Amino acid sequence: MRKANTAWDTNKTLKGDDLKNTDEKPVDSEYIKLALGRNSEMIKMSLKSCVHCSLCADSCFLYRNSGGNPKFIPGYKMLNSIGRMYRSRARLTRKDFEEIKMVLWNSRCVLCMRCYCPMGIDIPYFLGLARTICYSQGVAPDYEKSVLEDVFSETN
Amino acid sequence: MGETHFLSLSGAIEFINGPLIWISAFIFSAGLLFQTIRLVLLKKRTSAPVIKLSRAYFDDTPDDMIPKTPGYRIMKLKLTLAGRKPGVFFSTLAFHVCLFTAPLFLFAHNILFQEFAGFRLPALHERVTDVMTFIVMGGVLFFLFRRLFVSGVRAVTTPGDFLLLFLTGAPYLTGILAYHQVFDYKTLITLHILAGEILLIVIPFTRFVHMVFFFVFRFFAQGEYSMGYK
Repeated sequence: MRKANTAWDTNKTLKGDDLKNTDEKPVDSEYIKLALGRNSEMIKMSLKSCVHCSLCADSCFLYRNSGGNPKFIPGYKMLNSIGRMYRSRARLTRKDFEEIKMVLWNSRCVLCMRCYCPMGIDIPYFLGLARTICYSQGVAPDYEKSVLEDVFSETN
Repeated sequence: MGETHFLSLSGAIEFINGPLIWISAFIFSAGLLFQTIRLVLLKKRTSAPVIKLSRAYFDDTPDDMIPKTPGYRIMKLKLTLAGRKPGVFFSTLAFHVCLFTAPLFLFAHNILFQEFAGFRLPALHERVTDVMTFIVMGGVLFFLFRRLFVSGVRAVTTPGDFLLLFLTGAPYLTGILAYHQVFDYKTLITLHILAGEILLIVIPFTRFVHMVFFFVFRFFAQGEYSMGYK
């Protein structure tokens, strides 16, 4: 088992200081490859099974309350987080992570696990996995903003 | 006269009508089998949701406190995918049923198969299969419309989706044009066979594999919304 030497160390809790100034830290590709590699078959099979039908949209209460904003669709969140991470494993940059953070958090998902997929893909599992990988790079949500502000804002 | 190129038109036609049929049928069946085995073997390699056979399909949700009135049943039906999005659900259902039934029970295909194997499936009336082909092509247009004009679907659409949609519709379009001898028959029937072969080759390696995966995930995988939950 490799010794963790990133911001995500299982024996300590993440404090506020650890999350600041992550812009200059390089991306730890080893952990990303490890986490994706352990689940690679599952990710591959699920990405292949996704027929891009967007029927998962109706099952997300945040999607329904945002007035049908397509960025809230669970499939969109999955394809643009774990799908993007899987496609460019070793080439992810800090900027990619900031964009993925917008997709995974930003009041778009609370991991309520209500998302339903006609193909049977376990969307919450992949969103949780993507969040874990983000945490390992010190990328975490900004909890100071209000949820309502984000859901109804025009720039979301 | 100059020498003929080795890929002369007659050579290509013979290849498409001959060995390529066997190649595509082999790749289709072996590919699907390979993908299914890969999916079923997933449970041995990851700690992710397990795939196992379950009798949960036959068990009703036990809740003795709710009286099973017709109103309750109608409410449950309205909360299903069919109840919430009937347009998409029923057109997809009609499209898929005709997609499979039309080639399998087409009279022309069955005559060819009888000449090859000596037996055949029962064939539907040609007008019925014509209508089915139009339903399939209508379905393809419906999906294209959704991908272009419905914002939710557009957000998850990639360029490959359009290519696959074209590959789905091509055998049906060329088939019906060839059958009714609208343009040059020989060209169209060759294109029809080629389009069908390309589709068969592509199925196991793209999202068309949901042909098999849908049933595995939906009925056997352990998850909240699948019937394998136990």
